[in-house]
Amino acid sequence: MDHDEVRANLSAYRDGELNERLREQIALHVRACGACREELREFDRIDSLVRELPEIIAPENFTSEVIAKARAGFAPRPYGLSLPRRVLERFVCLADSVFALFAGYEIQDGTLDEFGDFPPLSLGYAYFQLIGR
Amino acid sequence: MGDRYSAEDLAQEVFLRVYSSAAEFQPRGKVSTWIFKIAYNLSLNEISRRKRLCLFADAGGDKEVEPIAPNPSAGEELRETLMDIIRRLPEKQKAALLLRVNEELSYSEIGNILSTSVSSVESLVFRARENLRKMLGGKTGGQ
Repeated sequence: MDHDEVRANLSAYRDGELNERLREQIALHVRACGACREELREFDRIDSLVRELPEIIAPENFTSEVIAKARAGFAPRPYGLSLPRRVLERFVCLADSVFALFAGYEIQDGTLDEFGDFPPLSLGYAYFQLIGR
Repeated sequence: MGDRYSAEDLAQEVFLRVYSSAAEFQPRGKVSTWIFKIAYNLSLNEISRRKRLCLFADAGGDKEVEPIAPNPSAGEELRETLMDIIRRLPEKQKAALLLRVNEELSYSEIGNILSTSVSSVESLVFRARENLRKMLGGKTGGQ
């Protein structure tokens, strides 16, 4: 097994996901190869950093809200959107993009849900009225 | 999901779906794997909905990861750089890496969640680590 083959398997080796024969071959190579040892150390450091990233803690009322919604028979949204809603959202987005081109402002994100401040009588405002937001 | 509120909404959606689909759960695997699968599918739906929504907007997602200039002089800055890099990873790479490193799931379990083969998971985790390594420029605190 050459160096490149070993490199391609280092990540799985680190995760203990290789069969015994492959694991032994790689262990043998790693003992003799400083570059592979360094790469393994680098993977260790990266994994440690990823584990140390702060977790997002759910708000205190998260569980009670979910239970309340479940008890109230609050059905989850169906996967995907209905055809009329898809057409409406695309139309509003296209119109907004055209408007943005002429008005010279930049759309920051692809989510119309995050736009809550359309001026009255604009298409976006009408859209949010229509979907009840 | 890009922001805390969207993530919370999605998490609520996940548990409502778990509640409403509990009868469909096949007790062959772990409950947690099933919940992760629901969460992953809902996240992908939301991401693709956002992409679909705007033709001209940049919705992120599975595009080539471009190098950024890390400035990991302090621990906090390094964490922020790392979070930024992880956000920019393709969705499947990101999910595979986080499920492996944070949840310590096996490649087989991750494959079940991402609906892909074990060899694909192996490749996804490897490429995610390689991307992080390259983009951090070797400045992970070990030198």
